[in-house]
Amino acid sequence: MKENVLKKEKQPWGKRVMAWGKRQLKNIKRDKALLLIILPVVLHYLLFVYYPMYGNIIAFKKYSAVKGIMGSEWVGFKYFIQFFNSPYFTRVLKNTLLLSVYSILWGFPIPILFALMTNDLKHGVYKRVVQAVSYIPYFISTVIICGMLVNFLSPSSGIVNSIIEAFGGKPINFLMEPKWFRTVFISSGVWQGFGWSAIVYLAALTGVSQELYEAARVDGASKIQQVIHVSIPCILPTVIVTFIMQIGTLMSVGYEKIILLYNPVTLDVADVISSYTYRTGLVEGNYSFGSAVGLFNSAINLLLVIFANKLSRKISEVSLW
Amino acid sequence: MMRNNWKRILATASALTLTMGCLAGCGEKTQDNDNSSTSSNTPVESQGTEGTATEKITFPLAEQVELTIATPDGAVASLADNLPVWEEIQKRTNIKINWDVTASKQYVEVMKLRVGAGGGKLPDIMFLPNGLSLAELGGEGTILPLEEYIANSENILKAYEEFPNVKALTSADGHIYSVNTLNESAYFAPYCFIIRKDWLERLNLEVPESIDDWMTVLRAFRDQDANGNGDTNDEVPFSAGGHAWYTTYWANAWGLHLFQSDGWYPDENGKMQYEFISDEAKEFYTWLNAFYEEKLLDEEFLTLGDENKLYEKVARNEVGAFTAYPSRIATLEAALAANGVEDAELIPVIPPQGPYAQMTEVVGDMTVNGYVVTNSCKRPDVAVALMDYMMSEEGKELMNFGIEGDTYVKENDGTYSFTEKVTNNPDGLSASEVLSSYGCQLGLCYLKSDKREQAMLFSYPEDLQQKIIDVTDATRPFMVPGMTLPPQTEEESESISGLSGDLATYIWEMTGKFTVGTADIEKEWDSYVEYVKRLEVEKILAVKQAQYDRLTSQQ
Repeated sequence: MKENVLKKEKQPWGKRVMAWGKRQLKNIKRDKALLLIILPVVLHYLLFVYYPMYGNIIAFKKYSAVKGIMGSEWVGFKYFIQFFNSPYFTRVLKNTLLLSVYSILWGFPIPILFALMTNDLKHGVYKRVVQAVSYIPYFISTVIICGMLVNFLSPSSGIVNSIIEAFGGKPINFLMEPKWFRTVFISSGVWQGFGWSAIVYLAALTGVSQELYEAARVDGASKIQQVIHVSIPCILPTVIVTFIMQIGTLMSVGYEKIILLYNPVTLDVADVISSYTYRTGLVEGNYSFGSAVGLFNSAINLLLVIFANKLSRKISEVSLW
Repeated sequence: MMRNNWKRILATASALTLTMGCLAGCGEKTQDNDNSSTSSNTPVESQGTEGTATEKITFPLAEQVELTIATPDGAVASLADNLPVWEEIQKRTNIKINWDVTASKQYVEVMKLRVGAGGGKLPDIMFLPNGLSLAELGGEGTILPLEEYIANSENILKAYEEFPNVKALTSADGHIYSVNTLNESAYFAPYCFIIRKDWLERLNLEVPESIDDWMTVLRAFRDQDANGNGDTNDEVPFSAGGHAWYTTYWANAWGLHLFQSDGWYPDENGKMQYEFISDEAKEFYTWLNAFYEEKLLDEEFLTLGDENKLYEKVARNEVGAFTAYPSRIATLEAALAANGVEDAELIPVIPPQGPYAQMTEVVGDMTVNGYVVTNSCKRPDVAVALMDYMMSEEGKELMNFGIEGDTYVKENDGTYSFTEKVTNNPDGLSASEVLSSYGCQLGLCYLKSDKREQAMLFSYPEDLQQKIIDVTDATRPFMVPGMTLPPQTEEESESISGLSGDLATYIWEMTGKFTVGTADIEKEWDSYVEYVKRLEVEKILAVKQAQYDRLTSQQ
């Protein structure tokens, strides 16, 4: 291998570049249709993902609108330190992690189970109806979901408390009790998202060759055994990849649903990094501080993905890269 | 494999060098910009002075000038649709206005981002979004100092005499930066307690006059069938709309200025205090906790979302008392009637006598934020002249009453009355909705006239008119001005940057917890005060003190 590299370097620079260019040109000509198809995606990433990243440098600057991003004064890690020293740092970090971990704990296996179950539904219309009903909530806006939650959980007129009372229980003021916050937040999240998340597993399941099932049946495998020994191993790579991606969002709990559901009494368990950033960064116009927190968040998320990927490669030989 | 890795390292390294180069470049550029920004400030100012600024501008202008105004849009009709009042103003001044409007709920966030993003051209005149400071924007040159133009503006100068705090409140670093909407009618029908008179009558109770009376009345609402539907359990004695802040209106009776002044209030020696940590506040919270524990306060007071949810609850015939502006009464009674409660009667109540005071804070003889002229404006002189026109008698009539002969008639005795079109609108709009669809009280600063408030009463049923006038007169002796402080200087806001947000989070969290009882007041009060001090309340107090001193020295 090493000799190979050395040999290549012996060729003159110009010639190598020319050859490389020619090769690329030929490739482009050959794949122009494919390239055209991917162009919008590339543009999207350049414009909306990579270009805005340059704005991240305001995390290290005292951003002033008039001086602009480039002109603002450098302050180093001032805003990071401000965040770490903030009286709320430990609380928002803890809440973010707990909400994420619990969300994954409940939100990750349920779509898989659901996909395995619907996959074995034989009745076509019934299957389609079940699927549609399960993923429709995904398209309802968060604001509406939260409005529904407030109404359903109201201690005086909510349907949930009416049911509790009908069974002789005492009404619970769900949204005012800190111990209920995580349950409400996560269960509503699972309800809203499980049908949608199941789609990717269902797609993977349709890719499983029927011959494998037939072979298993010939060997006398029961339904459950077929699921355990055929379906699950076949979708395992998909499961692992989705899991790694989920690990990458461990530090990000979106602020919309939080600020729509929290109140002073539940702040102890409900305030997360993003809602804190929303208040200090956006509401108070402290953009540099907001960016610093966001950048810190992304850095941790990146590390987590790398770590999860490494781990998975070691254990299961399936990985993102 | 190996070669691939090499390529990657090379790519990373070159990317790194590129970035470094970029960053180094930025460093240099900063200095350049600093120099140019200080020097570019002067031309902007001198650009204004040369030519027309020293001359007095008379309307209509000989030559049309275009101005772009960014402002929260009206809820009933959009300013962008050439509303009659603004058509008239443009005709009379020969200024062409290009509206740059945003729905009022989103305005603050949208505009803050636009100003924050910098770079792009800002509108000539904009309504300053809450949270941006005059000192900061003025210091960096985003907005222009207006005093030299205001020197020619007789109506604005007259307003300064009428409202002595205004000049200090719209200035920063010695410059006047904004012109705000002023309210002659702030003391007319202020925010107050509102109670169901028909519930009181059904239970043979008197209108409460002290905190103890209130407790008696609300307990009766809780225990008996106050709304007369046969169910003794569906009444909420007192409700509030979705934030712990609303409950602090009661603190008036403890002599605390928590509701309008946010707890920042000078004591009798002119020394600024943070009343949220005072001994009276402790007593108030203890009472509030009992108030909640006794189920007199709505269990949902923190989760209702907003005021409108409260009004819906009132309209469902479930709420006995709440706080609101008396002008709400007409719509709420109509909503109740629509829900089949024909005899519902809401009345405004004067502030109750409490353990330490009988008072109600009143703010709002000036809006907190006003209209500023940005450095994109080519003709700041015309912009200020237009604002001055808004403050004139003519502008006042247009902004408060609409178009003469169409929406209002001026009586011989100098009072105004609205036409049928406003008081009894064929499309079923309320009076203020009709006026706002004409463009009244929208778009730019103006003088809110108390004559409009009086004229407005004619659209109410006669007994309600009388009730509002009576309660205003009865409340007048108990009205206490809330504290509005002049803007902070750049150093001041820098020195406490981030502190007030953390403090507010903590205060409202604890207010909620003390009320509901998740935090024990007796046990946790000292640590609460301690923690507020750890959040550097002293630093904020020092800044507030400096602001207050500026206010008193300029009066």
